[in-house]
Amino acid sequence: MKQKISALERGYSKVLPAVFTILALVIMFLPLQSIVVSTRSILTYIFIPQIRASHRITQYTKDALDSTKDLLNTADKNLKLREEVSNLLLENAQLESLFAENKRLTESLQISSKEKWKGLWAKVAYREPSRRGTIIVDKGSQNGISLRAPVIAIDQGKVGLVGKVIEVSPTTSKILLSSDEDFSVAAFLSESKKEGLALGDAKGGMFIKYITLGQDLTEGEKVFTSISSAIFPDGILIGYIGPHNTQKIEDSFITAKIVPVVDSNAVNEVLIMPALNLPLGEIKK
Amino acid sequence: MIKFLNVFFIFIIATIAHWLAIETFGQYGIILGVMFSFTLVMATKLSEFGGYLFGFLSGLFLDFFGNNLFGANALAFTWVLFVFYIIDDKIDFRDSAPQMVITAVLNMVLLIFYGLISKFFIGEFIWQGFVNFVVGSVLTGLFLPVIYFVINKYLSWGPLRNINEAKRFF
Repeated sequence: MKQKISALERGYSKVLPAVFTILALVIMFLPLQSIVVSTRSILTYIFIPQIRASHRITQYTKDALDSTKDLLNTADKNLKLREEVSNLLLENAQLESLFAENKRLTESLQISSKEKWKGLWAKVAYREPSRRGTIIVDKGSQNGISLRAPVIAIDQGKVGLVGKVIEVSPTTSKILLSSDEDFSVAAFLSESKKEGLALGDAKGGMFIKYITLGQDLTEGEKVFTSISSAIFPDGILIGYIGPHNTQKIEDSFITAKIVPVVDSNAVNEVLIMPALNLPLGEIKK
Repeated sequence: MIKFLNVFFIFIIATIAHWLAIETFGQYGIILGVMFSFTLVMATKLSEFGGYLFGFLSGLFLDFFGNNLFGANALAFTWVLFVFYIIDDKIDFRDSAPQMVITAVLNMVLLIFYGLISKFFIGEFIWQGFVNFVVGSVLTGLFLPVIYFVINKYLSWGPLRNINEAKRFF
């Protein structure tokens, strides 16, 4: 296994550690700081390609690992999405059948069916600093916007009421936000089936009043625009009933805080729906 | 000359592997003794003079890129090689298991030597952390058979084949 070493080599091997130790000590004791710095600079230049090469190899390996991980994740996601698509197709088929049934029943009961919400998307162009409860959007009468048009928006995947158009110029429109204290809309509670009036408050929030006494309102109960509203189509989600401690009885009616579904002060894009523009006394279809 | 160039080439490869290890494991706070592993492998391939010289230069290389006591690594490498040559006479370093154990232990010894040298000369025991001391040394030990295999392969088909068979050169 081991090779035989000569007597000369044996003697030499005893001296070698001492020689290199002395050499190292000499290097340590000599004032070599400037030489070391210069040599380090030179070596850095010499080793830069190697440093870069190793960095590239590491990066490449890391990228390859990340790509593989991404690929596996994508495959996994793809499977889940395909499953979701299948479920959605099934749901869609069910909805189609429900829609047909709804249509048939609506026709047989001779009641008006809900129309699809249509409108024009507009971007918020300006917020009036003097009045927090209004915004100016970049669409106006030239785009078909008219006074009292309902305005909705999507916030975190949920569609909700934002306000109504109160001023129209050819290229811009001013929207009164639902959180403004001048705003009001007839509202309908989804579970207790009661009607009330949703209003903006001075603090930029919303509340509902004129709810007839009876059962307490459930926290989180959905508040929609009512069919009795002259301006808004019914069924637009306004928000949710706030906590119990915000509910109170005033003049034989319940008043409660609403947690708006859309933060109207934070929206950047809104959907302006066609105004109903009903003359007074006319029934909304 | 060709022998010298081959050793120099291996030295360059060692430096690349060293940077590679720093890039990969440095982010986890672990410093692998790649230069040290190459030194140990080359110590089995070169004559004692060649081994000490390779180790000394490897240590010096680390000293150039370190900010502490210049020459401390060179001295620590020399002392650890001294210990290694004593062990090498008694244990077969060609098997993977002893390679891993000896390297891991010697890497720990190297870190202690380095700390003692710095304590003696600059009054501060330079310690790279207990995790690095244990994990870094174990990983260095685990990687050594790979380095040993690669260098062995290179020397077996390269121009140094005959010399490799004779085991000692340079």
